[in-house]
Amino acid sequence: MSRSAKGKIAVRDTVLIVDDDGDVRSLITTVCEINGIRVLEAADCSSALKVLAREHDRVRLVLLDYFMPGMEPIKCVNTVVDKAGTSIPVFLLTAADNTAARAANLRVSGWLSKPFEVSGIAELFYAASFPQKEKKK
Amino acid sequence: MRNGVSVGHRLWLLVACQTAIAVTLVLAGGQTISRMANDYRHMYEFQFKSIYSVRKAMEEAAGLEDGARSGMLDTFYQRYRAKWEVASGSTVDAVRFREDLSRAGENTLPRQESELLTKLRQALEAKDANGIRESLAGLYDVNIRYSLFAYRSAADRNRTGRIRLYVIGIVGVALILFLGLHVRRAIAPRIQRLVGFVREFQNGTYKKINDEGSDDVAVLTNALNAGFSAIDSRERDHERFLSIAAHELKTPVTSIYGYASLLVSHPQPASNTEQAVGIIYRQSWRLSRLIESLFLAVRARSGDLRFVPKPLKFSALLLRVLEEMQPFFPTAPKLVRIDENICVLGDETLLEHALWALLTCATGLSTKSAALQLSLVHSDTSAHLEIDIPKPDIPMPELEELFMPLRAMEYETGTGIRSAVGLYLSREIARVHNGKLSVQRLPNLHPAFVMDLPA
Repeated sequence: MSRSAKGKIAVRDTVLIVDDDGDVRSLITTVCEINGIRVLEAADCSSALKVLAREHDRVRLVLLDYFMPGMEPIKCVNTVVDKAGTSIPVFLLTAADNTAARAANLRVSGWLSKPFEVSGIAELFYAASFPQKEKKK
Repeated sequence: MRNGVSVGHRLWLLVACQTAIAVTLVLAGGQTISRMANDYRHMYEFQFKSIYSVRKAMEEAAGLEDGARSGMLDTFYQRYRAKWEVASGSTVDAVRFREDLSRAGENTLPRQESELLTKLRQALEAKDANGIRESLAGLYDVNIRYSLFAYRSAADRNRTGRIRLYVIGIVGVALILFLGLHVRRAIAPRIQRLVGFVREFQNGTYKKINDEGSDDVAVLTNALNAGFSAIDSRERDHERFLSIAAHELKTPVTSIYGYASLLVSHPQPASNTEQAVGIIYRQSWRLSRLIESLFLAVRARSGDLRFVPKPLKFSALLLRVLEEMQPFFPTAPKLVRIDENICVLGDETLLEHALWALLTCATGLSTKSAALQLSLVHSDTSAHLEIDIPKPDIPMPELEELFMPLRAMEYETGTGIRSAVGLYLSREIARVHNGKLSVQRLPNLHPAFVMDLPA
């Protein structure tokens, strides 16, 4: 929890999904909804930076695609990581080859190679200590 | 030596120089030996034999009394006289011997000999024993002096000949060494560099090698450079193409696999199922298109593109492809003008792929959310398709590169351009239809893909 500009206590309960592929955003959004996690979406890097600037206090985790139009991938990752700061982990989602090597050279918290399992996304939520939705009995 | 002289010419020059020096040495050596032989023959013939015969005559004259006559001495005189005439004649050896005498200031010897011979003849006629002995003693002395002089002359000539041979030999060896080193310096380091270059390339490292000459080695180096550069460039293109192709293939697979696993783990609610199936269907279509495009691109590259032409309505085909691709356009394309019933003789499958690739690339290259503008116009003999890319700042050379085999544009180029696996296949498809595909800058400064097919 952190204190917002208006003095209200904000809860970091949101995932920011940054991917130019609408279907992938939709897939992760569905997984989030199943887990009761709020979602913000951005289709490119500049949109993601705007969302981060606006909703920084609410975002708990950023899932960032590596290749996107509008900005060079490394510049995009570095800018988003800088904007997120130390309080928000940034995970890389990419279909590029040699994901581990690429991620190792960046200041990201982790990476997930496309195509990924839905359970892999859920594990990221767990790693980011999201409050899990109670399962209906 | 200029670098423009060929290697063969350099070596020929070296061999010619070596041969010339060797021939000069042989000729000079032969001449020296020949002169020495002449000198010794002359000494033997005219000095040693004369001394011997004069000595014998002196022995005969020793016992001769005044008034007595000796047949042996008469014969000696006749023979000596004949030999003297030869020696003072115009033979080569005689002339050279007189020249040597003249140079040495011994001009008096032939005159003395002539006078002594005259005295000997008079003494023989007068049967003057003392006169005969005195004349013979004089001749003996003259011949001894001749032989001493001839020996010195031969020795001098021998020494001069040797020195001349040494000088020719030393100059020749120096010249050959100089030329050899010069040729080696002009060729060997460059060939060594060339060998190093080849070895490095064999080990997987390509470095450009510069040779500014214009001779055979430079031609070979530049040809090797061009070949290795092409191989290296082709390797890089292959790697980049495979990397991008893999990325393009993984993108639809991500959605298919993700939604399929979601359906398995969370079959409810039904709305999710409907959405998931729709996305799986759409992305499967995209994936099959990509795979088919890759296969066709490989076939086109190997010149094995199957072309089965049939009459077909091109305008209807374009509209169908546009409809199928509708979910992939961020904004629906604007159809500026589509002439109906444009018929072409073509392969529907191939043209469908060409249109799909063109529209995919144009969408990827466009500014976000800007609509493509399409026009399909029937001119006199062709169907003219224009796909306007609404992004004016794309450099034309980069667009042209998309048409090269196994070429794709990456995001890392810094221009932010996104693209599929290139348009080589589309251009090949246009070509087999006897048409053409190009990229042009329109009057509104937007680039556009322009396809013309015979209609």
